[in-house]
Amino acid sequence: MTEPTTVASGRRSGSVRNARFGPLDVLAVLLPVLTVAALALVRPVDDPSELLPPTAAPLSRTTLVCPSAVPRTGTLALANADGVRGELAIRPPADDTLVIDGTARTGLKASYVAQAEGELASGLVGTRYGEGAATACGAPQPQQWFTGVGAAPEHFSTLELVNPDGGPAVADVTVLGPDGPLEVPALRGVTVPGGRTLRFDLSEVVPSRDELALQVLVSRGRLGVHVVDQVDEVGRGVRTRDWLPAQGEPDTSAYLLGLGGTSGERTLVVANPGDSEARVSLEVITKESQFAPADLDEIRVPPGSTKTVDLTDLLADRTTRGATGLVLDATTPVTAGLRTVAKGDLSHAVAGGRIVERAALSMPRGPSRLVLGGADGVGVATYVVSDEDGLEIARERVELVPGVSIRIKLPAAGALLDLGVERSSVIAAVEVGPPGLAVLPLSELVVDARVPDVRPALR
Amino acid sequence: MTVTALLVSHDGARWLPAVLAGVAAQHRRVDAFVAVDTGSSDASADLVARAWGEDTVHVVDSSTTYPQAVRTALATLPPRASDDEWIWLLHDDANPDPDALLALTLAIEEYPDADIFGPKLREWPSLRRLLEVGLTISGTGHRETGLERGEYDQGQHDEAREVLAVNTAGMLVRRRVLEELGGFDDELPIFGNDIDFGWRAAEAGHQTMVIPQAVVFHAEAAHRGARRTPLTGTHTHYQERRAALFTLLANAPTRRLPWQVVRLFFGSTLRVLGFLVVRSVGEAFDELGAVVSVYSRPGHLRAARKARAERRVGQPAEVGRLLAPAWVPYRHGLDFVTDLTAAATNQAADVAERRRAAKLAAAEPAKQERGPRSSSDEEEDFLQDSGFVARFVTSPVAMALTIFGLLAIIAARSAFGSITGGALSPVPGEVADWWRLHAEGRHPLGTGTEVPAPAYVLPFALVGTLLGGSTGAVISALMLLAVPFGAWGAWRLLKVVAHLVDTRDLPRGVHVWGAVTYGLVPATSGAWGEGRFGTVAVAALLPWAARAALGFADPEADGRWRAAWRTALLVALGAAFVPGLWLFALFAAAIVFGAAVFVAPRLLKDRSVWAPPVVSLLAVPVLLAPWLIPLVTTGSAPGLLLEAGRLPGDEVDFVGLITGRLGDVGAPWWIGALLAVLAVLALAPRSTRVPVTICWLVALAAAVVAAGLAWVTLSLPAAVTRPSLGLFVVILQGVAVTASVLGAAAYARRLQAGSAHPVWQRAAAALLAVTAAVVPLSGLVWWLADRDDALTRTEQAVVPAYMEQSSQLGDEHGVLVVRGSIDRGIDYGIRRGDGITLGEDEILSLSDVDGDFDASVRALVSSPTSTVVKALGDAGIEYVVLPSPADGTIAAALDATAGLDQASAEDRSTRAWRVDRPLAADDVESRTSAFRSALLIVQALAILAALVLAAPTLRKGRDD
Repeated sequence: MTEPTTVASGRRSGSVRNARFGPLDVLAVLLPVLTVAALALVRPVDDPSELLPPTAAPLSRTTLVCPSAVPRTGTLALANADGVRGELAIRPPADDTLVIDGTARTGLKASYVAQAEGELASGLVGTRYGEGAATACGAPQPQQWFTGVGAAPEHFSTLELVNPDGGPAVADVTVLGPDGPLEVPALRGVTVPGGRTLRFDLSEVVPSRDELALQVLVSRGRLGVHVVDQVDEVGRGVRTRDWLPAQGEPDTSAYLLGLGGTSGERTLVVANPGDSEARVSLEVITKESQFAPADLDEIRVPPGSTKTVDLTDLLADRTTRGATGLVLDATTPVTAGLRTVAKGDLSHAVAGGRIVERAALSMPRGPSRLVLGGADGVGVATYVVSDEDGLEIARERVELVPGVSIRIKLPAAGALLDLGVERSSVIAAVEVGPPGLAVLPLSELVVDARVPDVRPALR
Repeated sequence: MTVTALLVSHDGARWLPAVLAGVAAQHRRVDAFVAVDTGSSDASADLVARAWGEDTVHVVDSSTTYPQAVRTALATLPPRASDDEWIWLLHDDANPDPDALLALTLAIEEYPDADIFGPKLREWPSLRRLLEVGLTISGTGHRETGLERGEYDQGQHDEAREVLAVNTAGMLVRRRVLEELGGFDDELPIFGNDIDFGWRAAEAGHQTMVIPQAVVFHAEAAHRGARRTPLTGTHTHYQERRAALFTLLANAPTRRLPWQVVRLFFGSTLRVLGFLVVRSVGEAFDELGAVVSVYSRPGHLRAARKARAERRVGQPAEVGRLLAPAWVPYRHGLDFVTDLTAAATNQAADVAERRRAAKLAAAEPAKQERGPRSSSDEEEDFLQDSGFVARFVTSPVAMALTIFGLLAIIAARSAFGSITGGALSPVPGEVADWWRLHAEGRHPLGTGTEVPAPAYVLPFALVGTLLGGSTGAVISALMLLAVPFGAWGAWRLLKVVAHLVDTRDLPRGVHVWGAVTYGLVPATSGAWGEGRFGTVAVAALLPWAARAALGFADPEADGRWRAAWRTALLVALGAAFVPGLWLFALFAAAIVFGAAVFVAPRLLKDRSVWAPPVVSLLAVPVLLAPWLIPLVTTGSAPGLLLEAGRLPGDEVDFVGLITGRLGDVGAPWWIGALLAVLAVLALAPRSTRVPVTICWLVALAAAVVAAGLAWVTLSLPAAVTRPSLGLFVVILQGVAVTASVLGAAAYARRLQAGSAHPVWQRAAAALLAVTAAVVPLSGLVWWLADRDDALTRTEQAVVPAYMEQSSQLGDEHGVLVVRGSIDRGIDYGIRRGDGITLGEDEILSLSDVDGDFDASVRALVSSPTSTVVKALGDAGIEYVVLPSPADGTIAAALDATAGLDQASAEDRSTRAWRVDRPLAADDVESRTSAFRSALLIVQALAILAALVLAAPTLRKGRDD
């Protein structure tokens, strides 16, 4: 201690001399250790979970929009998947009602809006059908894709927008072609007045010989959106039309089920809405297996464009006999549709949505087949077919195995198909016909409303 | 010429022998004597009788006033024979110089027009200090002598001149004039009758001269309270003010009278407040009593004015030139403020110094040897803007601190102008919004809430009002000045701490290092960059509060009590930003008291030792009552564990606490780690190990509390969060700086003390010095260079401009903003008025969820119906907005709902609807309650009382 000694420090140094390690020295070592130890107990802040999933509540209101009829498809079938009976509000005309007890079939050519409330709302399904053509009546969706539409005299499509509500609705339609997005002012910000239906013949709005894809984005209000596809090859005397089913979202994998049993002209259109090139590999799925055909190159789809591949020869080949669908595997999300013209009849197989629990379909009259594929694990599917009065006429459990597809003949008298899936998920479609062929992709049945997690904002 | 000496005595035996001797020693003989004794209880009358003869002394009873006594004496004189008869008025405590009468009588010949002559009064017994060389009165009734306080007589006023009045002590007045004017006014029994007499004489056309060659030594016994008479009582101030008011009102020219009446009334009220502020309660009551006494008797005044008007000759302007100039009262005001500031800076000067002084006083005086302390106080030089440019420029410490302050402001330059972002919400448009927020009991926020406004709204509103109503300037000032202010506080704290530990000053470099390093804490911790103005404010206040708390060690009980109120105010101000400061102070106090039970139980028996800290901590909730009480009663007590600013709170973790970083926005962690290492090394020097260990004890307490709090989860309506730990980062940094400074000072002294240190020791010291210097330097450089903060000029607008305008029309024009999607969850907020501004954000984050409204929003986003829309209208919602990107499903459902009309938005991906239903705001509107008003009054009184009690004691009177 060489410092000038003060009274206090002198006393302290005196006491230090007596004990080499006094209590002060112990404290001097202990305190920092204890402090750091206490601080080490400080728990970091939990990252607040950004994702707060919605909960389910019984659907209290459902609106189904059925498109206006194409020739010989004037029949509508409406049913509740749970067999609930009740009254539907239907438009037009306003304030009309339709009683559902089992399956209700009604004939009407105009576009049609059915609204159910209460118990009936949960599991309401509807189908418009006729000879060789059918489409499901769906609830209005904010976004839909239609891949493989045409705008040429020999292949053209008609876009139909139905506004089920009183207020105006606005749709933005993006058109993708082989050379990128097309500028179509007529389809930008299309306003559909309340309760009205607008139709756009694409061969007039965006004349083109190319295969196109449409993205219909509803930015205001709700719209029921349907596309009628027509092949009109005057020289060959072929004139056929069918609805082109919608695809919800682009995806990196796509199962296109429902090729029918007859070979014909097959055209695959893949659209890539992304910013980078998509490389798409293609496989064929049959009852026995799923395989890549030997002489097929990878499909390269430039960003924002469509690509058309003629699969007529491939699917007429002996090796692909018995094919029930195509499997697309893409590097970026794509949409896809396969158009088939077989024996003068048009049908479409588009990428269907995955069914996790349950799907239901109001079945058109006549022969039909259920096609299942793309199971992501071993599981069980149970289908139940009821007749028009709601009585069960068929029930079967089928085992789901990845890598194969199943095609099941359904009773011709069936009016309602109810498909349940357990322990797996699956892509499903129903082939309707003959006469002709119409493919109805199945989608998850909406029985619950999704109630979002609601909380006051932090700021 | 005959001169009659007229002496009035009362209990003046202490001075009379000298006075009588002085009269007897006059070189110009007095021709006749007359004396009046007003019932003295001592030997006054006998003394005079012995000197001047029995028959000259007239004893009257003790209630006789000075004017009456003079009149009595005059009545005993033979009738006036000529105009050249003069009366020399003497007091029993006024001793004339042998030449006094000679000089006065010579002046009679020199100034034949004058009728009243007065001597120069010097202080008795000092004899050298000037008391009066003529008198006048200021517009506020102040007795003006024109002299500096305690001015020495060096002949600087030795010029005979005409004045308004002279003191009656030694006044030589023509007997005719004295009699014509009716003597002195009976309304003014003791004080102030001289000014009144002079004024009346002047009005009547008589001239008053002061003759400085005549000197009278005056003890001013009555004025100083050395002599009590039944007339003065103990309230000399009352008498003096009463006299002053009466004199002014009785003599003021008629056209100025109304103004004078109003001015004196309000001026006196102000003085009452002033006396209360400096805790001179007695004088405040005297002042008040004087006003009441004069104003409640207008009859007396009227009579007095009438009497004066009858004798008036000439124009009032002739008298006006003898009155004090109009600016004089303002100079006195300035003097008062200067005194107050000086006292404030001096009083807390140094607890340590006063302790030592007390100790030395107790010890033998021979040991009064001070340590080698620098006599000049750099900081004082630095802060006193007294124009000592040369001293300033040559003081390295002053230069270093100034440059640091400037650099800190430059680094914080983005705070010029409006800032927001991070925890800092935008400020409201006007200060009135803050006042309203503070005053109202129910706020029109969200769906209406009774959660109280945060406590810092009051200081913000006050400062905003002082800054001319600019709310942005308040935040700018806080963010710009927090660092320099914190550094200044750290400087002062370290000085006191160092003196408590050691008698010597800290080495300059170490002292500056400590102040600058601590000052930078708000910046380097990232609190500044994250907009955590609560932590920033508390960091700036903490050293001041700690310094005030050290006042509890004051040797004087009075000092400890003042420390208590200062601490209470500072802790309350800090707790207004971070309530945890108060809770931690309670915790620390509990530890200290717990330790005291074992260490010094004797101290706890002394009420003046334990009561001040207890009172200071208990005063905090009273000072914060309008916030604290409703906070608890509305079930928002979790707010006690949060800090000012909107959520989410800080994300301090283990490393952050060790290195003093709140999050990612702070300075690089290694800078803080260096400080932690220094704090550990500070334990090494033996001479300062005890105080450094105490620092570490505080750190341990903070660490334990932080660790405990980190495991607490606060479930707020909008978020689940953790208590704020920013305060503990600041405390730990402060403790680390203090410990390092003490350790470094010991090292430095040891190295300076002798030269026989091995090279390695010197090298190690140099390494430590460089390491230490790196901490503030790199912190400052980082702050100057880093622009990676969360602060911006304006928040991004969510709501279209036309809705913002609409929402300002009234509380019922709310805008419901719904964000998120069905898949990821929805959150909602309501914008009313000018949006959620600073202060309102915290109210909302603590408000309970309105269950009905929550259900309405849930229904709105899942299955909207027209009933839901009506509920929105009833809750005062005019618009519903889904900001970009709007969830298409929700938007579609709302589009399909009756009662919601699509409204336009600036970009297409934002969706908006107008509620086409009647709007109501019954539940929402602003309300206040009697309870709230009572709390506000309690708070206002508590703040005033604490300010008064914390204020320094001013020296009293004009004589020390």
